[in-house]
Amino acid sequence: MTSRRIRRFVSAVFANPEATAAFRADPEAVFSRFELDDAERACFLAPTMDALACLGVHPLYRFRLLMVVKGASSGPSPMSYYLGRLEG
Amino acid sequence: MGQIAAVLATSHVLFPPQGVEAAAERVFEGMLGIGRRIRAAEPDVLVIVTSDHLMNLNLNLQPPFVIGVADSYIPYGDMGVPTDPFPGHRAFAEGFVGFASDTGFDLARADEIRPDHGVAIPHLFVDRAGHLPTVPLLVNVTMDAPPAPKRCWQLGKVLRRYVQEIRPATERVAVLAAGGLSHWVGVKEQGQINEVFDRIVLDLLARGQVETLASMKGEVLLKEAGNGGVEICNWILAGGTAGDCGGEALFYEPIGAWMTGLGGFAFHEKGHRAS
Repeated sequence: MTSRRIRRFVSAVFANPEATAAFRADPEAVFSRFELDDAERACFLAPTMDALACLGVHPLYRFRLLMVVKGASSGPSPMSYYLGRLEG
Repeated sequence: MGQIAAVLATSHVLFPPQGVEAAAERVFEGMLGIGRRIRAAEPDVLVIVTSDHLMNLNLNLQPPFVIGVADSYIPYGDMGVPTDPFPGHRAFAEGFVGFASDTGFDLARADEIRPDHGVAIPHLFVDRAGHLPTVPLLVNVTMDAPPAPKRCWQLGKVLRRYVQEIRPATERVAVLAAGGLSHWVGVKEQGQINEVFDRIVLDLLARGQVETLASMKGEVLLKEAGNGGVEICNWILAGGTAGDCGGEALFYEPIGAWMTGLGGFAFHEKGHRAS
């Protein structure tokens, strides 16, 4: 069971692309806004699937947090390989 | 009465092809083919039955079924989808909310959503130019527990009745289910694919045994297909709309590097123009 505070924090990080970018740029500011403690901050700064699960983070958010923190979304976007060949 | 012009189903992701070029190409070609079939059916409206990935819905308020009633949509842009707008179909969507309410389904209306890849990638394959009025119908599989397969199947039948009993006689409606097949996201099983189960799903659909699939308990679908593969409910819903008619698998690729089984399917209802 996720806490209300953690649920609100994670929902806010992924509320829109701008919020996600703001978290990536300055995570501490977002942590402070949601009053995360040191252990929680450490978990979100260097997340693992298991640690996020222990905090009750939804699996889909676990996946997205790992993508954000590991910078996996900074390379070419998946659709960039295919867009030029679409029809219709 | 309106006409169900075509009913198809497809996975709704693509990833970089490096290392899996041949399989990626088969999936891409398969999705192109699905787009061609729908365009050949000359629909007036496209209903995309899919799931949101917590881009619009969130954990603060979790409706099981959501229908987009907006006049137009701008994609969220995740996975590199262009944010070109495309039209909605407010009258169709709002009419369905009312019809569904009278037949046992209370749909949540969404006036402000930015469709994520669950809608936007399949939409790109049908209507790259963005001219076809499109209605997103979201099955909220991120809920615990998500809508049951049987409930989705029943909603699909309600959609069929809505088109055939309420919509104008000249209106042609295409339905495209999107999502699946088996995959696990954000859990210890992530990376697994249940190819055996995926092929069972495709076989049951091909033989018109949608009800058998729909009779599966949600917890069984979760175990066999994964928390991402629960999107198979979207295919089951489409099967209900197609009239449990059977059809053919168009492609299937279990791609380990993409952590998912990917498939495409065409329902063959008598009278469909697509071939």
